[in-house]
Amino acid sequence: MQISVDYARCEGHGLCEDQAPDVFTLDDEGDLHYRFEGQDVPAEHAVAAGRGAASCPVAALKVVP
Amino acid sequence: MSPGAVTTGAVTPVPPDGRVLVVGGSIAAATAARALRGRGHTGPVTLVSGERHPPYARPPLSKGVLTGTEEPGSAQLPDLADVELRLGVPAAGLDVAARRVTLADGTTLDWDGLVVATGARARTIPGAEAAGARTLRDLDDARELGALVRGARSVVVVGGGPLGMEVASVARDLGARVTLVSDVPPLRALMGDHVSRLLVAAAEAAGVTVVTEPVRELLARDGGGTTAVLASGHRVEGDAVLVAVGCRPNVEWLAGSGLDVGPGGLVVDEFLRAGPGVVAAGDVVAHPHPVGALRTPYWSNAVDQAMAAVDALVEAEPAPFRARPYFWTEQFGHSVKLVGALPDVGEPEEVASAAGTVLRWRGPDGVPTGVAAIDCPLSVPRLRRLLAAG
Repeated sequence: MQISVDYARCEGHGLCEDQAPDVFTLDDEGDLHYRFEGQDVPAEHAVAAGRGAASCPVAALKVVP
Repeated sequence: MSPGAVTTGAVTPVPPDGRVLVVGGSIAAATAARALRGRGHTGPVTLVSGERHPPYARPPLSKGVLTGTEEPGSAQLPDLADVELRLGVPAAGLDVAARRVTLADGTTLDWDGLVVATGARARTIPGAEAAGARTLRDLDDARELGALVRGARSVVVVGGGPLGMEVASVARDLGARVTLVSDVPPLRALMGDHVSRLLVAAAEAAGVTVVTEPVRELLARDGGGTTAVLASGHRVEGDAVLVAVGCRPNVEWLAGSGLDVGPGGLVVDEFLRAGPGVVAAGDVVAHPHPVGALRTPYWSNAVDQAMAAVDALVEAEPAPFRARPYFWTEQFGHSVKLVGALPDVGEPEEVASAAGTVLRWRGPDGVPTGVAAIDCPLSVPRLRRLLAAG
């Protein structure tokens, strides 16, 4: 599973970090840092990452099976 | 369990291979279905929704979808793997003892565990529809209202909540003459005096006429559009008129089920349980609160409740649901994010911040009750830390 991030769409709410702090973090400027950009999400983080993606209120995170 | 509710007695968790039915088609329902699969539930999971669209995010409906800058489908939520979607036919009845839901077309669905997430619908005022006024709740509403507003020279918004203010902002951006009519000062009931004053001033600076007065009636105008007749007799005309006066929980299908249903929503216990094998999440839920059972129809609440409700459905000893309120709005060039219990009462202190403004409110005991970030990029986890750090 991969997660594609639409950075232009992201508004920096940070609900993804709420659900998956080891996968998504937002910095002081509200910019999203996604730990597994361009690679498969490791199995031990997959559930939390999926939860984080699904909690995005602006649908900026998509799960790619 | 609250008085009048079906008592659960000893609560038996739904086994991992049990059939779970999720009724509803928005963020709470989608989150619940995903949470079940995420925790390894192997039994069938079915999501039943009266909407014909698969689950999508509603917050963009009063923003990019309304302006037409976002393409259709852009707000769609990630696909639900291994979840059967039954779209376009709403649930019509519930038999808790038989563990059966009946759909509007007569189909029956049996379940071992049920998640009630039927959300809410727009409230309106009598005669609004006949007068040509619109409401905004779902994707189809947003597309129709957007087309109407884009072609309107004058727009009237009835209601001073966040939705009404956001639509007024979009309509103004699109060049319409905009009047917002609210019987109380806009946003004050939800966000408190301070933020209300700030955003109303921004609306007026943007050219919106804000009228604080009740609407007596809405009348269809010859040749299209709607006239709002105010309590004073003053008339305001709009090529497009939106009624945005809150929402009502979708609980009618639960009539006769024995669940504790009132005008305030489906009453649940502290674990979000509504009856044996039945949990609930999102805008349909009236959750226990010191002043009575309250609905908190916000995005993050629907997400949090859906996860807690699933825990309560499948775990023998779930943790009670704990609300972590977060609400945000974007309007008139401002972004406002609020964490903590709303409304924010009294005058806030300003917290040092690199960009934008961060405000913090305290209760009589000095404990922080709310934090607001205004035009400030700090994320929700950081704002929550400011709330806790007090």
